[in-house]
Amino acid sequence: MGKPTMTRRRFLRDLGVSAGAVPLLAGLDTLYAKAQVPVVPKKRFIVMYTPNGQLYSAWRIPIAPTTAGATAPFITDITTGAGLAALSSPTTIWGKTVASTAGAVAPPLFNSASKLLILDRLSMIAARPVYNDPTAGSLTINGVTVQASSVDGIPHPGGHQKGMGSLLTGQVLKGGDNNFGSAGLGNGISIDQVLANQLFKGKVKFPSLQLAVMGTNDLYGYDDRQVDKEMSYTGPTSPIVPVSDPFVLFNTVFGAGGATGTAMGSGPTAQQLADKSVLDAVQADFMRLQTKLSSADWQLLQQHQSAVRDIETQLTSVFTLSCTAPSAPAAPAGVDITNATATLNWTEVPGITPTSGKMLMDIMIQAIACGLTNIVTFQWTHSEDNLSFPWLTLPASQCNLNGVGHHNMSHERDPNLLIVDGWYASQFNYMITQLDAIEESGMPGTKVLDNSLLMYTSCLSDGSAHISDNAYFALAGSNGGYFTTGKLIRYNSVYTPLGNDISDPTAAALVDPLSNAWYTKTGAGGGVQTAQQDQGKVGDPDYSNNDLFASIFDSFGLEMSAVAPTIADPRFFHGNLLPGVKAGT
Amino acid sequence: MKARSAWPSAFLLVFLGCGSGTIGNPDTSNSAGSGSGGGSNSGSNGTTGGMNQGTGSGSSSILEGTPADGGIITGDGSFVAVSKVPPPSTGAVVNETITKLTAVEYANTVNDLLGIPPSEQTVPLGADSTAGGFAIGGASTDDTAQAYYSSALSIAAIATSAANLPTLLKAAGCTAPAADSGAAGATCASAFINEFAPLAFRHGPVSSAPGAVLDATMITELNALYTAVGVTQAAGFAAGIAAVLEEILQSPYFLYHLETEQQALGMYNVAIPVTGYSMANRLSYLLWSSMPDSTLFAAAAANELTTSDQVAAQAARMVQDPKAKIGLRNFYQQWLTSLSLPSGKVGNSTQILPNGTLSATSLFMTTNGLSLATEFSPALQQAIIESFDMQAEAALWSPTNSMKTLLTGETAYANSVLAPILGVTVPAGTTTLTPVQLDATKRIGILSHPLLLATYATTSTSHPIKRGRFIWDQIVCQPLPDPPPGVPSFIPPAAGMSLRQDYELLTATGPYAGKASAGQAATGIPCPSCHTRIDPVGFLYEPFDTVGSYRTIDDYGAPVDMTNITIAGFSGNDAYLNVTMTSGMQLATALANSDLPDACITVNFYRFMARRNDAAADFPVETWLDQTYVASGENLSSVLVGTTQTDVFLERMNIQ
Repeated sequence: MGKPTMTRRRFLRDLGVSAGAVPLLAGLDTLYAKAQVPVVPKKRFIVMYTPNGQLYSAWRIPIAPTTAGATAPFITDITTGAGLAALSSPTTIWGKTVASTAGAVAPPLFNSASKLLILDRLSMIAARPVYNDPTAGSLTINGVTVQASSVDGIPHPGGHQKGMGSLLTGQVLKGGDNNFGSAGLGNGISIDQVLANQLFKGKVKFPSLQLAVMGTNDLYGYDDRQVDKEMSYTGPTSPIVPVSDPFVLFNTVFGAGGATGTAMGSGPTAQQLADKSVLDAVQADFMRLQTKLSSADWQLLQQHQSAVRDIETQLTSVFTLSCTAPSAPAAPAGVDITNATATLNWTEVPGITPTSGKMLMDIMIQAIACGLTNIVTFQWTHSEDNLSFPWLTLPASQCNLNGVGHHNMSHERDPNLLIVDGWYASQFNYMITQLDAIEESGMPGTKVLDNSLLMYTSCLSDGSAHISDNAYFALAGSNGGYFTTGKLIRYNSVYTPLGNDISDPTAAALVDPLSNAWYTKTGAGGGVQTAQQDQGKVGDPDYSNNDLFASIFDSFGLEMSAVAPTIADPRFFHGNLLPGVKAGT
Repeated sequence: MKARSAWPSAFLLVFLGCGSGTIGNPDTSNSAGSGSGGGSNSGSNGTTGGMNQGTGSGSSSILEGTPADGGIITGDGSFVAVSKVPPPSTGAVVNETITKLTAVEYANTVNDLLGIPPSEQTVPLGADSTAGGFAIGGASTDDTAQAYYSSALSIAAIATSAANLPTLLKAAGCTAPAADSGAAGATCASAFINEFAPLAFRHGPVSSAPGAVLDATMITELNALYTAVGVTQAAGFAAGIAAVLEEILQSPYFLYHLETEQQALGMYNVAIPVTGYSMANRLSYLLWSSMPDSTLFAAAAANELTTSDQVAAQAARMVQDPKAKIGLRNFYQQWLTSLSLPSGKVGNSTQILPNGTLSATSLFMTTNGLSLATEFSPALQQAIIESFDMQAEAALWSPTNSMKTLLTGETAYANSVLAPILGVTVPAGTTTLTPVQLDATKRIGILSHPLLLATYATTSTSHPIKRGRFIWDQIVCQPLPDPPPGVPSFIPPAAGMSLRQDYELLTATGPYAGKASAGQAATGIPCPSCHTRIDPVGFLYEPFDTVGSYRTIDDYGAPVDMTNITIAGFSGNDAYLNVTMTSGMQLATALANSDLPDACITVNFYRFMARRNDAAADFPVETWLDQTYVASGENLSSVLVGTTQTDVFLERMNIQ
């Protein structure tokens, strides 16, 4: 008689509906102290950003596209066979094991193959010069000729700037008067903010969080240039400055003086106890009525009783495993953690990067586990950052451009980037494995990672050529079963840049076919950025991050054209969901 | 099939069928209607039942009558007695499954139970479903359970606040204990539960008799709940009482219109009478949209809600109670669709017409010089909504000629904000709505009320198609189908053309009759098949703009043309209405003098009662209701009470 109750629970999970968490941590003022427990979607979006693109040959998974099908999109299973073998190749950031003397330690990223969805050859179309510089002439892409323009008539130079500004906004740059000509700022709201506004504002304590490791410290001293340093925007030209100080962040999220080591205890609040008693009685009323009603009537009531049982589960679920006492970041020796200047200065010591990064990641993970936030952006420094890596063992620098530093290395296509970016990839893997270890409250057998979408990306594809075309976006987690996992999807057959020997990333000569400039291990190397370098070679089809975002919005139950018209800009968004990413399609 | 024979005496029921109100005594004194109406509908989608139903015309066209002679005079002058008893509804679907309270019923019930008016119940409930054109409690999903939960907490918090708690406990004859002590308050809590629970669950005292709703276990459970929350969990007396209220407000015993006698009898697939507390609830929710009062409960307890006469007597009392106004409002707000007033209008203050040309006169500037957007202020909207209710209720509660007054009455209600729209004057600074006399050369009756005119409009212009369709659907009860799929979008009139001419061109009617239309080309369905009916009726209301103000120049700068408006679409005995008319007043008067609106309101009230569409088996009863209404001289109470005498109201059937 009536629907089996499992059907209702499964429907509940598909909706991703859960009660907003009632954090059990002392000292927190929650949004819902008394009566209303709002319905919060059990979905999350987390972006991890690395700067300056990647060494393309280290990023690419060495498997020929023809093995993945005859036409684009080419789909490879990376959990078995040749796909897994290619993914775990130590010539790639996915497979390279990197030893570190500090910070989060995690195996290489290929160990999470079954959770990954790697998207190859998505372009940040809005970052192309033709949309950001009226003097850029015209560009013919797959038979369509676009005349150069910019939204404000100002030329916006700089691939780093355009890449970072368009990464999460899917929009062009606007505005001027910053260092490096008219650096501009992203001209639209970013996807993370749209999701926060639509789904989480008013329902969770922090609709979104923006974190960065050394986000404000510019090692070139370009402190007045913001477009490199922020990727989250509340609206056109309104970026959000991320938090770089883990001690400040911990206090913000968990409350000042948030007790370290104090037993927070677990168990229901008084309201939850009373609710449970009330709802138990209500369900008992339904059972008694069953004998007083006809079977047709009882069928109707049984649906209702099942719904009451569901909300009781939501309202009274107790976060025992996920949300016990948060551990505050350990005070570094000689640093006064009550002094925000001191702690920020401490984070900017280059060798400290892994430690402060892990602190920030751990706070973020605890905040997610406690239901305090569902949307996080996390930057490793920022675009055009020139960080050095004393905690990694790098062979003598193979490049010669103004000394060692990530930005310089990227321009030189320094083979040591395999180690550096392999280390960054292991940090992403740390995030994945941590979230995969937390059981989703109220959903035994499901992990927080299963109800999340992580996105690992950079602002550029080939950092040397300042190209934002044909980049990698690595996703992890299926966001509640929406996204397929364990796959590599390649969207076109263009290799950007052309001409590299993909089987030998340490080749003596790496050719940039666009500028015909040679960067050699021993040669002078350029650093000269010509206009030609900023013209990406695009493939056909020419999918964009905007197209990917349409699918991300869809996984949250939103339609991008309706909620984010600037991201749905028809110049960059092709009007449909990104093919191949949705499970079951 | 329903059985009307005697019941086995083993069951303790008093049967219907005694006294003069004998159910099942067929009255064949009036022949069935000839099924007039709607003959020109092609491609109709059967939107609501009752289309083409015999609107009581039968052998008559115009029905008149007086209460004294207990009958009606038909169009051919003969007198027809109207039975005091409805004909049987042989084969009609009798209420089968129980339903949940609708949102309005919940709000009214909470108000009667706890004294918290609907305006203070701020948590929205899940949406109702609809059946037969009226709201009915829908399925219960997680979201609706969540809404009931949130609503229960909010209401319990108000009811157990320090200010309100003494009032809540008054009937139990005790007060809150010192220091809010859960343990010390247990006796008072028990007294409260014993007094409050039977009232809240609406089906009488605790009883172990078969078919009784409230069992001793419920009382035990509520006391245990108080103890758990107030004492064991140490939340205190007030929290314990709040928990009891929260349980009650989410319990199926409260949320559903329970009728449990039949299950207790073990009878299926046969219609049996509804009596006692179940009947008390049916009466109160039909006539008051709320819970029974103490008189009804007493009648149920004394077994005095078993015969149809007893039911009629209660109904007659109830329609005179002030609560009947609330009940009738729930009905007519749905029948007349008066809950959909838009919340804004967008005039164009720069005198550019919708078709892009400049107007020579001040369009979208109203008579008092404001732009439309400013004119259609929240204060005006409030005045429109309240004055509509006042005008509708003044008419519908008139002891005679209620429908004629509704359609042709010249009394309206206005304050300073609304008066200019209605074209009347009130003393400056009048904030309350006061009776005014309409200019009958411009508008009469409810059909020209700004609420309907502004609802059936666009955000800046009138909309004759929507207005015409509303009248056919809701006043004539010959509904029109939705436009067929593929109809091209509206094209505004060319410069110099009026909106009327534009529609005539688009729908190939009027002077464009016989021409090809883009709509027909796109859909293959001839537009005139519906639009010869819809358009003329709508054009009669073109003198009213998108807010309901009278005007002689339309929204596109052309003069409002009231010539050559020829009504079409009435058939059979109503075909005389297919004439050329020059005003909405003429149409309203003609309709008021026909039987069509009388039949329509009675059909709608029947559907409101049955909470489903009507079918052929219902038609004889609906005809009888119409005749009763007419015979009473259009006293609507005759319909309200008469409905309680129908089989569908008096019986239920369980399907096993």
